[in-house]
Amino acid sequence: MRSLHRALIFFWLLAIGGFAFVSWNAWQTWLHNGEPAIVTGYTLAGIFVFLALFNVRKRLAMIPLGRGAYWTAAHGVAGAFAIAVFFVHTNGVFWPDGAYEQLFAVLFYLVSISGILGYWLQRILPKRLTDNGMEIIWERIPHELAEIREKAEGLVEEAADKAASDTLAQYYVETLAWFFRRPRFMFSHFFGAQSGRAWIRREFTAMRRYVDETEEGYLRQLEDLAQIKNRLDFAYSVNGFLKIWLLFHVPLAVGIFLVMIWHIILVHVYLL
Amino acid sequence: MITDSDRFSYQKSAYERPTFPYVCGRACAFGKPCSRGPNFDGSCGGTTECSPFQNGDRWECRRPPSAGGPCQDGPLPDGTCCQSHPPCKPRPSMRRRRQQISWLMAAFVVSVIAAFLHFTPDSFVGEKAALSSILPGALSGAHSNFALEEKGCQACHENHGKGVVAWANALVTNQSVGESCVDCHSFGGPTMSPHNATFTAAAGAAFSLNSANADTKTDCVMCHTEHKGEAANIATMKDAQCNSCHTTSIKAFGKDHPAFGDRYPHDRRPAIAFDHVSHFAKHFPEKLAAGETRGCVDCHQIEKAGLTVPPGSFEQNCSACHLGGIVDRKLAILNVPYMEEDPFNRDTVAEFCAPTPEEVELLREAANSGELEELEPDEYFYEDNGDNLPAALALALGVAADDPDGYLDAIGTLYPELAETGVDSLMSRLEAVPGKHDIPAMLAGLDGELLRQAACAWMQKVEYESPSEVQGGGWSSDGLSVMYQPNGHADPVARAWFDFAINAERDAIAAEADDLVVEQAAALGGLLTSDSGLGNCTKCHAVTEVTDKGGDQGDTAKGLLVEWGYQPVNDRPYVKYDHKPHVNLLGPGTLCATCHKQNPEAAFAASYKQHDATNFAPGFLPVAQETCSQCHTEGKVKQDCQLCHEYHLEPGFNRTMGFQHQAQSVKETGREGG
Repeated sequence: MRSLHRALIFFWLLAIGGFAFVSWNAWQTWLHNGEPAIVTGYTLAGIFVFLALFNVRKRLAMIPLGRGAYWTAAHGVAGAFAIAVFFVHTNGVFWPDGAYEQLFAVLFYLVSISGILGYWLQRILPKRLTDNGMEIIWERIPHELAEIREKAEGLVEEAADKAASDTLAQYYVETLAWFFRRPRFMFSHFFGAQSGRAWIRREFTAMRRYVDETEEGYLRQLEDLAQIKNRLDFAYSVNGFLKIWLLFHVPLAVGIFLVMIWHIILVHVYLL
Repeated sequence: MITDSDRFSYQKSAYERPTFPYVCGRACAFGKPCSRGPNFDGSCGGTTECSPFQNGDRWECRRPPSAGGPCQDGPLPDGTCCQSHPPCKPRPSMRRRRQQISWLMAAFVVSVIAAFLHFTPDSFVGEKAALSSILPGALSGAHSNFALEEKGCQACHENHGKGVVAWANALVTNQSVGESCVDCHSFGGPTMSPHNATFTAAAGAAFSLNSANADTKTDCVMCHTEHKGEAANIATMKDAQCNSCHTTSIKAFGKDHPAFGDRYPHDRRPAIAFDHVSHFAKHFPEKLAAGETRGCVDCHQIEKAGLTVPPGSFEQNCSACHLGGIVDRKLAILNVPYMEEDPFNRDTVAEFCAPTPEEVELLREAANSGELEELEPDEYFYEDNGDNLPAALALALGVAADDPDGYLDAIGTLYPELAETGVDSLMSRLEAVPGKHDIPAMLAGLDGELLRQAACAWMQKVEYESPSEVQGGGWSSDGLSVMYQPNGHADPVARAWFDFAINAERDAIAAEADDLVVEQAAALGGLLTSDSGLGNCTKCHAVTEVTDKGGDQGDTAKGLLVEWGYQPVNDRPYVKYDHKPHVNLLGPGTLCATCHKQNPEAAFAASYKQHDATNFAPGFLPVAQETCSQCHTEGKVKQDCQLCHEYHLEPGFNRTMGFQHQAQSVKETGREGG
């Protein structure tokens, strides 16, 4: 952890130094009536390539290209570097005049916003996942939910046999089946609200009045399962958002990469 | 289950494959996924719980422990699994979806570029041009119309529209966008040099440049970047850019700008020798009525204030006092020359000239009396009435004006010719004089009959009597000479004589003419520029030595120029100034002297006695930098370099209205034809 922290400081220093150099170079070029956009543009292109390498690095997990944590940190810092250099390149112009440059700008802003959002998610959500106390692979969660549901339904059947009453079974069919069917309260979990827990407490407290002692034992077990499922829902929601944001970020990055190539071609054909 | 600490044991847990492109359809519906999962092609792999293995002649169940281990019934005899399920519909994994969306985005971007590539900027004008996928932005207002309507993108980008090969070639070769700018724009010096100038050590003495920067090859696109929108200012320049080249770095105008020159704002005298000091101190008080005064704006037109505040016309400002001094200065071109003998052949004179009134009277008397007596002309006519030849005539004949023996024969030849042909013989002699002359203009309005009759009269030894008295100016005779009197200010005949005579001596020398011709040319020039010269033009109009760059001899060809008319002095091409806001600020006509203070000590008029325009004493004290920096300083009025300085030298245009008209005609013809 400490080495990652040191690496992060190193990356930031590198980015700040790089930005200072690029800015100074652009300033000097402009002072001498040169075209600073050439240096800043190719710097930006270089940063884009580096940012894209992060995706390649994830696919080439078998090759020792450095720890993923370092790459993630470097990717975030390089993204911030890219935003800064972008505005130096555009000379502070936020909204360009031509249609394809507007497309370029829109893609860049969306990539930047999604990148910042993703960075923020990756900074705060893992900690919340740790606090949840349940470590699980996201892809496996549906399997776990199915098992919990299976177990819950088993408990209900067993309770009906033992207590010779369908109170609990009816309660499950009318109320709990909805909850166990699939992950619930996704946005509530993502934003850190406790809707799931409140729902469980409210429903089980209400039900407790209508069950006898035998059924109450089963009801407690069902409540335990519901609490576990609620934590799984939390993991599913938070982990899901950690993956879903990439559905925006990566395709937008692909788009900007193509527009960048087009931009470079045009600049060379028409100006340089 | 999740509560089981040993749940990831291989016997309990299937291997998760996040990079696999598909996930089980049952899992996606939050049901229990099968242990086998989907196939790589996206089909369901879980229709059976295992793929039995043939061990010798027996089929063995291969269901993994995590799914419950080998089943009790075992494989069927044909080797298929006995536990079959309906297939699910696997769905793409998150990674697969990301990939699919990425491809969609790539297709979208390429499609958009390709679609709008079809609509090249040439197809659009104005705002729609910005839709093109090769146009980074609309052209500035100044360029948008002609660039797109006439040549399209090729006006600046020569490889545009020439196909893929030209594009590929352009991709790896340097473009020269800036060079096309000079198709329309012109400058007073090299286009691709800083400030359109070639700097020397002397030029940089007061405000020197780094030699390295001074030699730098510049390009228009270094500073002027187009395609930033119709309203974009593409000619901005910051002080820091100026300071990067100029070694005299100026942080603020009021602090470290070099002092203005001793004669600021002019390094050359004005075209009109108007002595403000003498007029305000002497002439106005003498001429004006008591109580009447003259201020700056009585003569200078503040409504036209710009770099200068131009004075009104001669008629508005000067004619009241100076018109008389123009029209009473005449130029004689013919006269009765002093001669001690008669060079004219009587028979020739009689042939070309009608009898004189005296001869007519004598003939009438002879007819009445029957006796014919011979009329004896005045033997001493030329000695009593003759004078030196006029300078113009002496020059035309190539003789000394004061040498009767020298010009006797020439007069003896010319005057009969005048009597015969009128103006033509005079024109032919003037045309033979070396120099740049406009003879038709010099003799404009000269009546050949006047010449013919005057020549006859003088050859018949009588004074010429004009049939009517001439009113105003023009060509006329006083009996013993033919002369020209200006009609008023800006008389074209007078101007033509000056333009010829002012360089006549130099032209004669250049043509290696006879010394006598050179002397007469000098005499004519001296006569015209003297106080008694025709119209007394050079009393006010400066005669200045200039270099005729357009001449055959290039920069070495120097000549004299009469500076006709008021011309604003623009001897500091990199300095710009606008009087208008200052006039309004100070108050019209009241505070011009805040900056322009008269200098009574200066010998202003004396500087017009010679021809070097830069050798002069201004009639005003120099405008001091402190005068400007009272307002143009930090915290007050802006003091950017470009507020007062131009980057380019004499910026102008190569294109003319004629070109536009031609282009328009071509277009209209095309429309009619098409």
